[in-house]
Amino acid sequence: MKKIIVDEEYCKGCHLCISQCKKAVLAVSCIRNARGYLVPQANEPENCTGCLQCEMICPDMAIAVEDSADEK
Amino acid sequence: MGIGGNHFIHAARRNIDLTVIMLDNHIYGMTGGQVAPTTPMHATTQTSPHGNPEPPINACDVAISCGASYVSRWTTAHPKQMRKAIKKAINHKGFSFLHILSQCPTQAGRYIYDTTKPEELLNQLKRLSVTKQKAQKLSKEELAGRTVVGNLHESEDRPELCESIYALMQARKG
Repeated sequence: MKKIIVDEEYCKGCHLCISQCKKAVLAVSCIRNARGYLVPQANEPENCTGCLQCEMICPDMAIAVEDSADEK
Repeated sequence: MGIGGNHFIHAARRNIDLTVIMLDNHIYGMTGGQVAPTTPMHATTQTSPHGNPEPPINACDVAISCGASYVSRWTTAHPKQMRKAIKKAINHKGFSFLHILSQCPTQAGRYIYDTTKPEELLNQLKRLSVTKQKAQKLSKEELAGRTVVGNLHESEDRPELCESIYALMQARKG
């Protein structure tokens, strides 16, 4: 399973990652960051294929997709 | 292309080992949405409220005609291909130019494309781009309003500036 880390400090709430995810792993959460933007959250990380589309599309480099510890 | 145009032309002419990555969002965004050299014709902006009377510049054609040895165009909707192209451009010996079309939801989206949703603008970029291989089969009418993406030009014919300077130095030394 992949682990999707969203850096809330850098996120500006454009939600491009949500639109790019073909597996609908990411969704808008109800968490607001310090600047008041709604940050995305990985609701179904078990569906993640690790295509890295969200990581590459993020204009602020706020997303990192990593292999979770049990897989390593 | 508007402000650094002259430097760009001469860097391409000399074929100096530089990599230029041009991010093109069709507008001067940070200063408030003024008309830019790449703004589409008839587009409404802050400084062209009745439509832009000027046709946009084709930066890739300018680079090729001035002698750039690697020219490629991609959009932000093609991150994988773009990453490959950037790698290739950096490794290429000679002037490499990358034209990256990107979205500007705040200004270009508001004035030109009538939507400020970043995902819609991204999908539009993807929809309106056509690869070089596909574009060769299409007619001029079908290509109107669409941008050709891909590796547009690559050549090893022209000497790189630093190499020709060193060759000259060696020749003068005897």
